[in-house]
Amino acid sequence: MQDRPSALELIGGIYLFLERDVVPELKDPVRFHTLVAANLLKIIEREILSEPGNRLGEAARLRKLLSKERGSGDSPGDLEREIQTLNEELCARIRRGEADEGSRRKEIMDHVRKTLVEKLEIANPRMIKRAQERS
Amino acid sequence: MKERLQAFIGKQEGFENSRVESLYRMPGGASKETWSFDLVLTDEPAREVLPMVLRINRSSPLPISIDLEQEFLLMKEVYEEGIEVPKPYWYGEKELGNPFYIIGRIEGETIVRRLHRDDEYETARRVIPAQMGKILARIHRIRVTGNRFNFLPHRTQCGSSALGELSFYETMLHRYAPDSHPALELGIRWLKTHLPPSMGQSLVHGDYRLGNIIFGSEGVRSVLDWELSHVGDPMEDLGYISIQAWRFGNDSLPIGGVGRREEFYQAYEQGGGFPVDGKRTYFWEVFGNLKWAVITILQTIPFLDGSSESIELASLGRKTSEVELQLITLIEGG
Repeated sequence: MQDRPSALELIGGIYLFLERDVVPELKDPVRFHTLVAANLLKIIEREILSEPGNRLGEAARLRKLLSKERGSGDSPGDLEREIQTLNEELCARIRRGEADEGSRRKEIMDHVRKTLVEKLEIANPRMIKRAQERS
Repeated sequence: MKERLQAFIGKQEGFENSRVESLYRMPGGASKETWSFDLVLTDEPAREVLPMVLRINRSSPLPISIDLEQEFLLMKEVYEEGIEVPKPYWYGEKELGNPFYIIGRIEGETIVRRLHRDDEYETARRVIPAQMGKILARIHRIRVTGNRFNFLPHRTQCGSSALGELSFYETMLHRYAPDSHPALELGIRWLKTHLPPSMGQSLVHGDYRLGNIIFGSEGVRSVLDWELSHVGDPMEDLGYISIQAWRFGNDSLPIGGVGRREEFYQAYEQGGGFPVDGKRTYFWEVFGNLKWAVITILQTIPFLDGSSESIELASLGRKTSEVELQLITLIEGG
């Protein structure tokens, strides 16, 4: 186990350094790309905090949705592969028409929506409300 | 670069006595570099100066793009039709190492947040939706019969451009996406079961939106980025311009964050465009979200495979889910 500062604390420090010290010294296009990079640090920060829980939730929902047993391995890599396999299965079933109508459509749509919202809580929280509106 | 460019232009008829000046690389451009320069015609007493742009391939282009030569040929055709595009001068294959073309430089702005916010663009904000509608109508009115646009993609399946385009992007998704995307599969399935009946074919710009428009304080000056052009259903362009991604934060005005749908459609129809039908444009708006989601995935690939170090391309991979969420919201009702 590493000593302090933690990864999260370091990310916070780098973000402030970029925002306060670096960006004001720069001109476009490097300035713009530095802002993009700083924003990616914020994504990583949120991802460290939420992604482990999100993956457990996504895997559990997918197993229930597709009536699958829990995968055998326990490592983070096993979980990642299990989610990938389950998502491929879900895609194949959607292509076969399983989500075309009725309560099955609603179950699948609800799962997909929840997964996207969780991804956006990490990638771009400001878009969660907007992307669910029709205008 | 300057010497080779100078040598290439010096071989063009009527430009033997000219000099390249103020050459610099403009920001942006993922797979293509854009350079600005002035061409000084030295044999004329007035020393006329032509503002020019060079676009040259760098990394491998998106697999959905037409190549640079096709884009150049298309710009020549639409320029002759009087469409607002930079004047195309020359295409070259090898003289600068990679394929390139040279076109006139149109001064102005392309950055959408400036159009949305800056006081100097108040008039532009007001007039651009109708201007873009009328220009699009003129693009769609260009005759595509005969073999004039044979060099462009014309993707039809079972006589349907909609199915042809959809199958193309479905193939791109399955061929190139590193992850599986249930939301996009839901979108594809909805589109396949809501195909519009076929209608007249036209030239389709394919990426018609703010960001690809040069504007000034008075409005539209030029239409850029023809690399997704093809022959197909004209309503595709109307749906695409309406998607959330091209509103740049301002959903209250669905057309580019500057216009209402009705004013845009009306200007398009009055400008001689095809009749606009809400169901058709809705289909193509759903398709536009699918297409843009697939493009965000494709644009990230050069970062993933190491052929580009662009942090901007890397960040696009994390944009896909917001487009997917809008897409499933549009098809929620079944």
